[in-house]
Amino acid sequence: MSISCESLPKRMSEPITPTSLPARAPEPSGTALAWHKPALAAAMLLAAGLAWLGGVWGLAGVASLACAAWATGALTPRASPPQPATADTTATAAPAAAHQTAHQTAHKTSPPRQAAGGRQLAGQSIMINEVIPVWARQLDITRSTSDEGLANVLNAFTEMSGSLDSLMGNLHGINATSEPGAIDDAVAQSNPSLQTLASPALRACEQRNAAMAELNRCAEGMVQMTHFAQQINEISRHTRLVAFNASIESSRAGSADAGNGAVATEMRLLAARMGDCGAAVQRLISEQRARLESALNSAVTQQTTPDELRLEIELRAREALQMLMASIGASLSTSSVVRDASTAMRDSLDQAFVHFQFGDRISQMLSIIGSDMNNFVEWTTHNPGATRDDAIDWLKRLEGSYTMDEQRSEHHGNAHVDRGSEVEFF
Amino acid sequence: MSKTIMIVDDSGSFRTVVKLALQKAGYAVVEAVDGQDACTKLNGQKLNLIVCDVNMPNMDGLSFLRHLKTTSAYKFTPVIMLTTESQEAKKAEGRAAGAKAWITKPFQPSQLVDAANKLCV
Repeated sequence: MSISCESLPKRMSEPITPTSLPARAPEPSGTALAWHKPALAAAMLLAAGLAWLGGVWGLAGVASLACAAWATGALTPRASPPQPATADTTATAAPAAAHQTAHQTAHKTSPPRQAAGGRQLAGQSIMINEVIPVWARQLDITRSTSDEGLANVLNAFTEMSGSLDSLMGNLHGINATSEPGAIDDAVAQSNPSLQTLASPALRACEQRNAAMAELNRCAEGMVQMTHFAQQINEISRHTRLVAFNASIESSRAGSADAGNGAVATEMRLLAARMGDCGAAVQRLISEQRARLESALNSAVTQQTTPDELRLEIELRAREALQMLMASIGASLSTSSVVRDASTAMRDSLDQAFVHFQFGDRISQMLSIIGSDMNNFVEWTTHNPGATRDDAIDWLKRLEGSYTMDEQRSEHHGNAHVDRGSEVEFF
Repeated sequence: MSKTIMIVDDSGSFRTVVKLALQKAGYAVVEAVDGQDACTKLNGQKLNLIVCDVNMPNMDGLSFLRHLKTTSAYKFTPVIMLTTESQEAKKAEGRAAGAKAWITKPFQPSQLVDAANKLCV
């Protein structure tokens, strides 16, 4: 995250012109600058090393040290009196102040040394102009690569998180089916299926009812047949009576009516056979009727209505579902472990997403340092003879460019206290 | 139909984190890499909330916010500033420009979602 000139008008991204700076002391002597070149170079090399090994804080710390060394001692004319250390500069100015004291006696101004100092100043300018922009570009590519890499890792985590959510949703769905009332819901939801399941049995039930109706009609026929058998018996008895009367009349007539006697005898025999036959038919009909009535009674007793059949099917389905749920419940004891693990992993992922935000902070810090380096180069090119006041001004501007509390804390060498995230509604 | 939130941040990784948090909460998300890109992508589309960083190239968050408040279509769209900036002066600038909330990075996703639920129109 870089800083725009628009948002931070006092940032170091603004070109600093000589007129924008405080009044400056006379140009330093060449001998006065002799010591600081190696110190500055060493500080910058150390800064680069720490930037790659230890991250942005190393770079920020050493860059501050370099600025302080440059500001408080290196570029300050040795003839000027030591400035009192302010709260802002105490931590960073101390090493340079020690150097300044040590060199004050050695750097007595003399014309030959001024010429040498001029060459050293030009060399320093070349070094700064050549080296620091490379570091600034390296910082920039590090920042962009870091951000791109983090985005890729985050995308991978996002996919993992989505998979976990899906898994959790499925596990929750399975778990819900084993909760109280779940079977009622399942039966209600599967009612169309149960109807399909019951349809053959319902058809069989209808067919059975039709068969029973036919049997009932047979039973009615039996009743009529019994009636007819009774009529046969009645006719037989009546015929036998007629035959008996005929035989009496034939006996009374004597031998002259022997023919009628024979007919009467045959009629009696016929009536007897007809009676035997009617009795047999009536007995058979009674037997069949008894069996039929027994079957009908039995059928009526055992008959199940379609509604009863549906209830019975639902009951059986419920039993089957309960058995199924019991089986699933056994599996769920294992699934709950998976679910707990998934929940823990999701929480960890959420925290990982929070921690991944460090990439954005690093990117912002690197962007600021890179921008400040470029401005430092530009400024030093135009202002070869800087003073301690310039350094103080630079440090203030650096501090003003920071966006994070930890940057401000580190600027003064103080320990940063993380206050965590804050939400403020306006 | 889910509500739509625009995320304006130049950090791709940060946009991913914000997008994930909001999408998990059921919001649709539109991304922009800075204020200028956001202006281009507004395009009259319905936005229920904008989550915007402060420090960005081309057009920073506060400039974008001020521009937003001059448009008839978006002047009432709530804006949450999500930034590393924690200075009171910056917050005061944001408030004066019309921001509805200020969240300091790093944020907890739940904080952002709660704020979004509260402010989404």
